[in-house]
Amino acid sequence: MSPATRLWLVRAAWIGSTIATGAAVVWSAGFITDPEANRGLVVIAAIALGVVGVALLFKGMDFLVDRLPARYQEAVRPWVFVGPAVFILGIYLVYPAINTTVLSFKGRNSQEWVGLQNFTDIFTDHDSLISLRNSLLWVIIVPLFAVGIGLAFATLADKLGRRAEATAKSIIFMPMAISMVGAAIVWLFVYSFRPPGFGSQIGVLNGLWTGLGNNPVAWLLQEPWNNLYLMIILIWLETGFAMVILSAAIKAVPEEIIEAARIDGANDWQIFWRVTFPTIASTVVVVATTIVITVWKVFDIVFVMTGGNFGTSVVAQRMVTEFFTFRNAGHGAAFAVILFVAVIPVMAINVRQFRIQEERR
Amino acid sequence: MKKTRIGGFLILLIVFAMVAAACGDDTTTTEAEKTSFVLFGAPTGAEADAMNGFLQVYNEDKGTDISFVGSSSFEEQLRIRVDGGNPPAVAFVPQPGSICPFVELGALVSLEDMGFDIAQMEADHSKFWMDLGVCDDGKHYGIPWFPNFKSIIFYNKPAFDAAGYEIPATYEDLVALSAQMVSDGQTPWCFGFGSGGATGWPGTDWIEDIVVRNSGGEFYGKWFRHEVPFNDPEIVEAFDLFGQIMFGEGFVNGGPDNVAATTFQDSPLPMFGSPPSCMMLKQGSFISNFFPVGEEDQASFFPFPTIGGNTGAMGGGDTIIVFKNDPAIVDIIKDWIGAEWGCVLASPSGGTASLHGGHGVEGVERLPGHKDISVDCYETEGSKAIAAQVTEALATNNFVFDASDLMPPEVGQGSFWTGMVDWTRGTPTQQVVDAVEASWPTG
Amino acid sequence: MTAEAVVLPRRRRGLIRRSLDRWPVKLAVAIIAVIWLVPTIGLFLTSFRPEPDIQSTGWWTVLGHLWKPSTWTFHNYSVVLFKQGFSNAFLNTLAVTIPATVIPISVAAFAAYAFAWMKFRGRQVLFVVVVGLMVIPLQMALIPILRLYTSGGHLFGITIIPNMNLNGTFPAVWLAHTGFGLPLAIYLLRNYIGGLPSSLFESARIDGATHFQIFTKLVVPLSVPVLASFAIFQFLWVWNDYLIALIFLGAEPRVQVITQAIALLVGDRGEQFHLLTAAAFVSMVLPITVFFSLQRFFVRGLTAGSVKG
Repeated sequence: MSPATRLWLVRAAWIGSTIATGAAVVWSAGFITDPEANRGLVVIAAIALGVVGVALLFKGMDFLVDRLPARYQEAVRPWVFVGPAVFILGIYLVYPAINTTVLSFKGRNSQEWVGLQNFTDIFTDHDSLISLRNSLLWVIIVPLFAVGIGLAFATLADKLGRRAEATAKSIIFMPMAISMVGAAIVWLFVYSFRPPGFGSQIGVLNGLWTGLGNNPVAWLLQEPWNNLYLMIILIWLETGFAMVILSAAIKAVPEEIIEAARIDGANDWQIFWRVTFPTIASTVVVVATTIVITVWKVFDIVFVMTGGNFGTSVVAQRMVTEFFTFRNAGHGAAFAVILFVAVIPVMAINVRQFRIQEERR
Repeated sequence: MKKTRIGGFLILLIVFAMVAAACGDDTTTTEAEKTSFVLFGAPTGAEADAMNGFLQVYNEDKGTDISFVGSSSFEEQLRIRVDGGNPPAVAFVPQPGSICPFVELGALVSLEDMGFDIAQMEADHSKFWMDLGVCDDGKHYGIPWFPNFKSIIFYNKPAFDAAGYEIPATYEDLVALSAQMVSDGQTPWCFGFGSGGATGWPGTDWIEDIVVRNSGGEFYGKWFRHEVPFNDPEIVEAFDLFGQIMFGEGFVNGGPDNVAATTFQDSPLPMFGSPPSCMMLKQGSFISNFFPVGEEDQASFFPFPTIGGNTGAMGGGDTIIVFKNDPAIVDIIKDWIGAEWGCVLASPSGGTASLHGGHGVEGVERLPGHKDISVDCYETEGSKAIAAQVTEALATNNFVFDASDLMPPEVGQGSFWTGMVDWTRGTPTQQVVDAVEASWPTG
Repeated sequence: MTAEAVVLPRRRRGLIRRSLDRWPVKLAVAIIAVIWLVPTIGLFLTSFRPEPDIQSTGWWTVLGHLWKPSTWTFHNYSVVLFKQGFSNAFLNTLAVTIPATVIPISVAAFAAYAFAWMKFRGRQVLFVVVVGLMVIPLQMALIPILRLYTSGGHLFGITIIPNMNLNGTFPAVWLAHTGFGLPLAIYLLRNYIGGLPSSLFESARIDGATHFQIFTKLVVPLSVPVLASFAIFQFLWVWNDYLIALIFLGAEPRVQVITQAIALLVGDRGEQFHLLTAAAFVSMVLPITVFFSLQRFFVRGLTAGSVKG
């Protein structure tokens, strides 16, 4: 075969396969949007589109960049890698965020401009200030315990045998797998209260408490401790997240460094603080940041358990209540903007961590 | 080589264009002639099964394809779908107060535009209920479907009869009876205001039933429309009347302090067993679902007593709203709200009066929303008695709607609820009503 | 020297000492695990109890009469499992969950690599903005996105995003979950990928590898643990989501997902809530299985070994 024919064959194969893949993508795109289609086939087509389609997208864009004049290639290529993410985020998060910010300067029906009225309403309202105070407490207490327990557990479980470790980790992880509906019931059977005369207790806490000879307590009505009782639910849920991510980071700490420290006579405690912790510090920041933001946004726990009554309201729950229950788009959006702004200090810590990681290289 | 590069570039562009075109394609296939739409509402569980059962009977009879979607966070969902430009064709809302905001968004079709006979509907479903759907433009937007009934008091019949108590006719009798029970060593009342995020609502029903009797239907209308302030002396008086029971010495099982902490689902439990830990409970007809299994027979009920000779019928209800103007849909809704199909919705079998049977779900009954729905659509004597009371109230325009469902949500789903909680926990009445008044949104 | 050679002597050295000093570790792990487990055990035992019992006595009372047959029932499970449309809901949930897990991971991995190892203007600012987007509450995003789905995007009368009639389709839900999941995914992956040794990348560049090759041949295999961790969380999140599916897919029986089917078991005033105990466990089975099957990616040495090789 002459080199020319070979070139043509390769070229034909290239074109043919491109068209075939394209046709497959088009077919599956039409197919998966059809709600009547067979679910099994939809899953397969979707995975094909999701994996192959995304790979093809990046490969195709990379291929296009290769065709650019060399001096532009290096400038354009990073945008090929971040482009799809930025595009999707622009539509699904940036646009709604701008939309929300605009709404926060409008009235309850988003008809007229009201300036800063919504914000002055919030900062002069006693209940709103209580929700701000509570949110601050949540943001300090929950991440502290979730990350602390998660880190301790990941470190300790790492020292166990493989099967024991897997089982122990699954137990901490399990709350994450329970849906919010399930979690609400789990904690109903913990905090449930029946006054004397309403039959026996069905909540564990009151079961124990009355078993000790006390009168039953309506835990979720005990201000200000009820806030703590609600936080325990989120700690229970989020520790699994911290544990899984931190465990993966601990596993990635090179064995050689630990062994070297051990030979130098360091005990487990010293190894943890001098070797393991510095190595996974950036992951700890990541996990803490993620949980802080999750806690900021928490609303369903409060919404389901107390509805924000009895001094338990938090900012995100107020946002949902104002926006959807009270149909006051202005107040709801203003609470959302408070959420956005409050996260700036957390981001500042991350910028620092980002720089530290890059300088270490 | 340069050529290939450009060729590859073009091919890829074509592929991307094809993908884009495919995504943009309208792939939905239109059904034949069948009228097909989704009805959206709040019921879930057995109530939703009954709705599906009703629609199945209807679809089979009329050859339509209507499905029901129920959601536990209905109000929020509906708001999102309407604001997002994707409203359902037809929905039914438990809170008439949510109707007019949708009208302001231009999302609803008025009854006038759909060709409903307003005068006839006012005669059938009561003018009071029809007026709840009138918005700023003076047109009607709400179609009354089926009510629920709250002006009843459940009691433990065996214990009641054994002690020789009589059904109280007036509120004074009710208070006197309660005092009698206490002196007989009984606890008269069970209360449970706990309801997660909605804690406090069962208390608002008490105030409403007292206001409509003590101050009359006209005042009641002014009250929920905020033509009189919430801290009007009449309202304070209603709280004080309720206080005669709530704060009566030994009247409340567990004491008033525990009322907010007791869930409404738990509240009937002590009324059962012998001897019962309480004799009476005021709650909507739905509460029978929470009676202990196998002991339901012990409970019976009597109407909320009169005050100053005034009776009243207070309840909530589901109101249909229409987002899509389609004559076929209008005909279907006219069927649903009429006496013939209302009978199918009434009970599992449709009783002896239904032409099409019932919805087929045991334990679910829906009260009549049309004055001509026969009491024979119901199976039990208890339901027949309540149904008769409701149809009479509708025919005489004496049915009033739960006021907290008609007030702005900041009050009706906010400060009124929390106000009831504060009140049971010792906050003085005047302070409670002043706080609710202060929370009433302006403009 | 291989990792094996380092580890072995340590094992021999401390056999006796280790089994002794592991006791406190085991005890601590056991205590935390028990505290975490008690609420779930309550739910689990309750799910096998008859409804009247659930109402009248606490779940721990069953421990007093474990062997009495009337203590237990499968009724709750049979109602949940044989509820009409449940198997269809299961398939629908898979059709939503799998692509909504795979797509964000793929997109995020490319972006995370660029943020970690490619140089371009505005990289840090863009990254911080992306992470900051985690704070956008999805409740505030639903209405604007639904509007885009139903009528497209318009600015000053010019159509920027065409109306694609996406609402009510699976891709509508996948893309929404991708959007909401991306910030966390990029954040987690960038942290991990950025922590890989730079020598790796330098030698690959010297060998003439392109960014695309480095990414697919080096970064992806090395990032398996973090990819697996994120996969678990995204999978769980989508699996347990109720709101997004309800808004963008609808809840008609043919497209219903599991969370919707479960929510429909219970009356709107909480009637029959005991069924939720069984439903919660039924819907947990698959996520826990996924967690167990991904456990093998969380072992020591997986990355260390490959980095060296």
